[in-house]
Amino acid sequence: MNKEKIESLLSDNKIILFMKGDKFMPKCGFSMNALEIIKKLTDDFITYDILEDEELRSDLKIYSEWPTYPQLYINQELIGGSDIIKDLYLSGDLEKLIQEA
Amino acid sequence: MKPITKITKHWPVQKILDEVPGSVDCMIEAGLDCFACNSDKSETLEEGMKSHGLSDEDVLKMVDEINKSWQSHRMKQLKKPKDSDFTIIEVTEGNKVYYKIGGLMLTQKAHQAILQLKPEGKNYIKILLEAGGCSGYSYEYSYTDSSDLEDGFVFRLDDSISLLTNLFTFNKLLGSVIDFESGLQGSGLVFHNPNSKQNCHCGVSVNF
Repeated sequence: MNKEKIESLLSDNKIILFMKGDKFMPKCGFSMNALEIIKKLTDDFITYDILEDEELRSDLKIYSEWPTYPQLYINQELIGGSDIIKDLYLSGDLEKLIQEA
Repeated sequence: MKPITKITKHWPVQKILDEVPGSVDCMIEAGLDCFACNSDKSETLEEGMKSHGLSDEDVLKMVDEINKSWQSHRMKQLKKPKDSDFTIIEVTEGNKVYYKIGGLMLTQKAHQAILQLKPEGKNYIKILLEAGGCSGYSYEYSYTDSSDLEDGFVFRLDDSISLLTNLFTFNKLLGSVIDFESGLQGSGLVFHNPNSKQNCHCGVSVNF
């Protein structure tokens, strides 16, 4: 597993969404829902297309101990996937996490 | 752009006046002054003109004039490309690179494919939205050696090739992402268009 690559991506980007497709071209409904929620809260985040990086796609699942995409990381910590992002958005906690990032 | 016929001689006069603000001028010019005031406008254009003693030929001429007027009215509502649309900008997102030009974004794959597949001597990739396909419109694209195109715009991708499109297509494609995909059914450009209401499964046919 290329742990170094994952950790440098996480330390370089405070808010990063690993997803199918990217900000400009989401390629899955769950990834798109997560993206749309984050876009409502901030412009200052990046998206990483795991469909274009097969190695990272399988490595990150092991690193995160999370089997699916999208995966949102804030300050190097895994927040969760589409359902958790939605719940945290509705409770207002996601906005706090993003503001504090 | 192909002329599109909208109005026929069977349209009621009132409907024509409502939908084509410029049609009243065409009618006055042909001597049909009363159409501009409070006469009966429920009759069709053909009936109205015939009752004024005008010929079939006059009717056809009038239909052409009104369609032209409708077309120019419609064109006025279309946005023209901004100066910044003519400059190609590289945009990085995560592990991806995009090229922004002509109100569109090309993925790196699409950009490379357009450059690599270019035949010798054909310096334009022409992308047009044309009537057809299962959803109403379809994306048509081909390499061409001439930039001759009605309402055409040329967006320079690099020294060797430019994107050629027309005003109508530019407006319908604004904000789209163009990707390149290769699959069992062939390889080609794929259009992700945020303005479309209905997309065909093939990704080629579209409606708004």
